[in-house]
Amino acid sequence: MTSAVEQLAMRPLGERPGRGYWVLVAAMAALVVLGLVAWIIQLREGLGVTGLSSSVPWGVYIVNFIFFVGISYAGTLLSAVLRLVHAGWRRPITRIAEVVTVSSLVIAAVMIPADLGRPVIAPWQMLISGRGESPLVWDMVVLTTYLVAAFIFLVIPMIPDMARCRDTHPTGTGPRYRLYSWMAASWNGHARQWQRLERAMGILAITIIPVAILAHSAVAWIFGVTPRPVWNSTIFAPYFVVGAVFSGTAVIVVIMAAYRRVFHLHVFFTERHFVRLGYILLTLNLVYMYFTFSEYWTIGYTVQADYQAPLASILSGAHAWAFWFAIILGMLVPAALVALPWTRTVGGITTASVLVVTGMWLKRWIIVVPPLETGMTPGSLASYAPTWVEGAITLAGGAALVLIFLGFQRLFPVISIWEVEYGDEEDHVPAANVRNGEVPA
Amino acid sequence: MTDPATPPQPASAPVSQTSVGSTELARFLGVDYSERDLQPDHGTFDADGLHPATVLNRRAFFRGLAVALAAAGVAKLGGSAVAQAMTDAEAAVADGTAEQLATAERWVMVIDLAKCNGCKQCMTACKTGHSLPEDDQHWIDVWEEQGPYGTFFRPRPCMQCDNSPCTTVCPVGATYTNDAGIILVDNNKCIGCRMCMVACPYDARYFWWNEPETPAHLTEDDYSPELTMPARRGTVGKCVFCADYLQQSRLPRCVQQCPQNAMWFGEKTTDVVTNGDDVRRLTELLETGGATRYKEEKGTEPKVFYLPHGREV
Repeated sequence: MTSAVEQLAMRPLGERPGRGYWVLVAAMAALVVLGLVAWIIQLREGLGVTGLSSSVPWGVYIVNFIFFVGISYAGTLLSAVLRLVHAGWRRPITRIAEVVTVSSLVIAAVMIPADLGRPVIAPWQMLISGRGESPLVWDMVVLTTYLVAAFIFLVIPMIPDMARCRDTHPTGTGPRYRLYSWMAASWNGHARQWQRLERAMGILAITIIPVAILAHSAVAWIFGVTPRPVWNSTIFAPYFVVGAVFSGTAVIVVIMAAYRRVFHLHVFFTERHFVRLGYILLTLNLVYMYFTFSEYWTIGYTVQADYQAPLASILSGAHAWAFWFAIILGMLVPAALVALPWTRTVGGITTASVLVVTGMWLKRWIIVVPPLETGMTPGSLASYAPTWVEGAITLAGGAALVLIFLGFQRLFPVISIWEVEYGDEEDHVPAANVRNGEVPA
Repeated sequence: MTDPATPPQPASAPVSQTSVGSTELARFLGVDYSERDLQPDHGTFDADGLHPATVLNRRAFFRGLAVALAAAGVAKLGGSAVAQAMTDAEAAVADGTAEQLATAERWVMVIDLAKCNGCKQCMTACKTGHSLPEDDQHWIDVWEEQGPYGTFFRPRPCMQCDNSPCTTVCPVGATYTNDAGIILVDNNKCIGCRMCMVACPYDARYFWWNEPETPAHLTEDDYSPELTMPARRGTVGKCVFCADYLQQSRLPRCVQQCPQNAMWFGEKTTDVVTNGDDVRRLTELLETGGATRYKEEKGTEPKVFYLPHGREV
């Protein structure tokens, strides 16, 4: 017997997608191909094709890296934290969140070779001569761990759903069937398997939180441990972590809104989900604003010579537009949209989230670029503007994320079916009964 | 350590030689300048992770320099001062502090801001000598600064910090401090992450964004971190105190070419510096000149000293 949840969640798997879907796939694929072409040009010509210079040696690739590691927090927060606090409403969202985590981490990882002068020898060099003293080695170790953990955290709860895909497969042959069978890992819905799954998820949820926090702290310390004014900040690690969860939550809202609209998943992504995520977004927004204020207020209040130029560049100079966009449109306006009852709607919260995602990309620009442009000596003053190569690789990163989601929903249920069903029953019958073989399988 | 009170020893006989061929020079120096010493090392590392390369021999350098100075007839006095320093160093060796001396080799630079007039000939010498492009790779840069007594020019080579943030953050140990305290980049190992560049408080590091031109007289096999050439695209370049010249008892290119004699180069343990024209005790020069170091507050312990502008010189 198939439940209503199953029917709805598995519908996109059997459906032939419409024209709009293929147009979107083609557009995103074109952007990814353009990015690859740009990268090939960069590999052939060298990083001279970027807008970077010896004065501003880091640019949008590093901005993208922080941004994508940041949105990877979506999965960690929603899935792990909400799982641990037994927030039942999380259930329809967990899978999307976990896919965001894995895919954005992969895209973040691609930004590293895109930025390196010698990407070909880098992996080997890092393996044979990596030095524990270097923040980049901390990053490599922690992010690799995070990626592996996030991947496990995605595929383990997919097992029961994969078994269902396997069992309901119309023909029982073909590559798709074999994939489902393989991912279902001989799942038969026995009570002992359910117990083990629950235990595994509990352990993973607890483990992945510190790993994720360390991951973004390590990203923050790339900047924090340098003697560069503005970067050398003690609050960078928590500041980055909060910013990461903030932008990750916003990305989830955007994806939910898109799925809801395109695949008519209103049943799962109800207004209640948007409002709850909206409250989380508002809370994180306020904490992030507090960090931002604290950071620039303490820097700006003193008159330390080497802080003056970067601060002026951020607050009133060349990059003021990005900073004030991030502050006004990326923080204040989204806060108002969620706080005011008459804009606390699906549309309002989605708009707020789009603004937050944009603002947070710009905020990372503000962190990376101005303190480099103003230099640490008078000999190193230069302005930086990315070239089309950097632009193409950046867009390809975003397009790749969309493409992954377009592909994922064709192949796998975007809703964690068993978790949603389990949640429905949990509301009516004691959990013990659910575990006692009565679980939907 | 060295004892400045040691009575001067006669040291003039060899200095009076007028023409010195390389073989004679080597014999005179008592140093075995074998082919191996002159051949750059190619990226192998010893157990400590340090480049064995071409450890610069301080005594050889100063002996060679003394000869060179005397031969050029620039400074009789200078020649004997160097000889004096050598005598001190030898006394220290006899005292059993030789080991200490051997490991404490520290090249230093002293730049007299009161003498620098911003002609930038040091930059030209550096760029020509290292085959650097005009618009980037200012391994020594000169800029104007506002000081308490008006504007002045500050030449900025690499500070060769004892506490160097660049070597600390390097993920693969491609940039390292050699036994003589000079910070080098092994472009065979460098992955081009540019973390050292963003960590340097002196902005003294440069990236080869585009394919560098290989100097006509060199091939890829000639490369050593000391020679710095031929450069490699996608790696970092920087001032190395002309480590290749030091091996040949020659002063760094910028020091040699400074028309104001504003740049001094020498060694800390031996306590001797020269500007190619004159030879002085390092401690005395720093003390009488009221030397400072750039961005002392960063705690980087630079090996470049600045004599303040606005002094009578």
